[in-house]
Amino acid sequence: MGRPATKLDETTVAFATVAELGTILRNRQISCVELTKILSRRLDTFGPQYNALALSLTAHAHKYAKDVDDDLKRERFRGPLQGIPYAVKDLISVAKYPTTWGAKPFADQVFDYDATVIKRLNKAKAILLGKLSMVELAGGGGYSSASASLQGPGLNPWNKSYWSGGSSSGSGAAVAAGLVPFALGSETSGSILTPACFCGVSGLRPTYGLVSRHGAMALSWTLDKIGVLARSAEDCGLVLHAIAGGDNDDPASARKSFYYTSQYYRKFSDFKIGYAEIDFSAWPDEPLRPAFSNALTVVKSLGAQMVEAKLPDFPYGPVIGAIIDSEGASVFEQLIRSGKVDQLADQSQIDGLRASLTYSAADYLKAMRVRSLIQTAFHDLFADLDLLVAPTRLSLPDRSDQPFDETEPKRPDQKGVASGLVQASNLAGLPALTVPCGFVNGLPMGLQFVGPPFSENRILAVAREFQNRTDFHKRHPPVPA
Amino acid sequence: MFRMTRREWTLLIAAPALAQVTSRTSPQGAPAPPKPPATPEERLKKAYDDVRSVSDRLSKLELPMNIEPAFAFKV
Repeated sequence: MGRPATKLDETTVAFATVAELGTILRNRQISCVELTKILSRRLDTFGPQYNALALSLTAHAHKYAKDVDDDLKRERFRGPLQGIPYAVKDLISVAKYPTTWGAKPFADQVFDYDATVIKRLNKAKAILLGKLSMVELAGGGGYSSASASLQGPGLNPWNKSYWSGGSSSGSGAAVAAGLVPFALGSETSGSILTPACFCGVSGLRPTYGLVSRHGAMALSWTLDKIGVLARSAEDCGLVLHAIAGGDNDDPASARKSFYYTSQYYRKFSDFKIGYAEIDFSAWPDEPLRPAFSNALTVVKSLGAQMVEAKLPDFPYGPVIGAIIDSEGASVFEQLIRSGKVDQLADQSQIDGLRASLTYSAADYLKAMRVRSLIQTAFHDLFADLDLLVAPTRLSLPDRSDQPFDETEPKRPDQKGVASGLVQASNLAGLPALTVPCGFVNGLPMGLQFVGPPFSENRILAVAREFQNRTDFHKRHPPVPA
Repeated sequence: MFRMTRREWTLLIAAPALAQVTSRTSPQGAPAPPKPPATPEERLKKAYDDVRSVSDRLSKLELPMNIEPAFAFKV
């Protein structure tokens, strides 16, 4: 079987979706070895320019790529991720390679086993190219600048003067810059949605318990989730299909599978989408409002019933703060008491982790009891709604070279859905997907869809249709070739 | 004795007056607490004060005994 004469240029390959790359590979327009060479060169060359690369696994990748080519030559098709290169946040263990958790005290840490998600992607024949930088310890303790990372501040591919977001900083930057078509990240409270939003890529945080965390760093056992950053909602669905499912090695596993469908069975006209007009017109920073209003117009054009909604009123900040701090204090107790915590890059993290040891059991339990009520409130909210839509972040990213601007912008007294949604939906264990929805000053903005537990196919269907009607997800930053 | 269901308590506890408890920014995905003090000692004291502040805010929430923590966390 001959190969078509058409030569693919590097930019086409670098910014192709998982689905497009799968077609290109199966049609043998490019070999898996060639694709791996192109993307690993890009990751090794440009990754450090965004402080996004924690570890290159080029040698490891080329061996697997050759095996995939052997399979493809024999027309042994293994699924949509066969031969697709990817990278993971450096809190996911890959046997015999360093897993640093983005933190100096763990710079030499090596595990002798693969995380469950790595095993599943190996089985799907995806090609691991490297590990990506992250905010140290995924931000446990609270950080005050983008510099809170072993590799330095995560730089935004759209403008390196700005932060790429955290804590999955490298995952967001690597996908945005065309270094890998997808990456894994993790979220305890905002760590997938934020970098995906700031970097202008699609980011899926699955329902708590749907994806095994075995082999991933713990920050908060009752909040941690592993998810996907990719070029489109469809790609997020394809990857989730491969990594989801029950796992005896994760005590929190929901023991559920996920089967991605590109044809959702319900019509949009049957959907009830909750939103708040004020989230788009008055809550975002002023320069972002026109683009958010345009994005809302696109959502309304889908034909679903749009219902004014309001987030249940709870003190989400103190509740999630007490839970993350208490569980994180237990996870990192030895680090804190040994004094090695002082090796962290960010003084706010050091101070925050030290202080977190002083939480009482009563505080933690109170927060977890309020959390029960939050779950009940969201269960009731989704009895009447299919999903919620709101801006992902109300501001553009902070600068990468300065401490975060802590000035609280003036917001309206009246609340809608957006304020507190990231914290609330994490507390309730809900799935969320952010997609790019506009640009201001050359920087991307994001729109998030949140649904009830295990409604990933529903939110993917709506986000996919949003992306059918917009081209924000197809734009990419200027990257040196 | 009058008993309220968890759902009824949810409606009560979620009343705006209680929810005015000032939010402490989550350590993830978003910047840390506002206006860091100048010296290392002040910064560390602020971190401890933040924990105490969250603790105080949580203590203002009155919950009935039958509200159990989300231990067996199920979605």
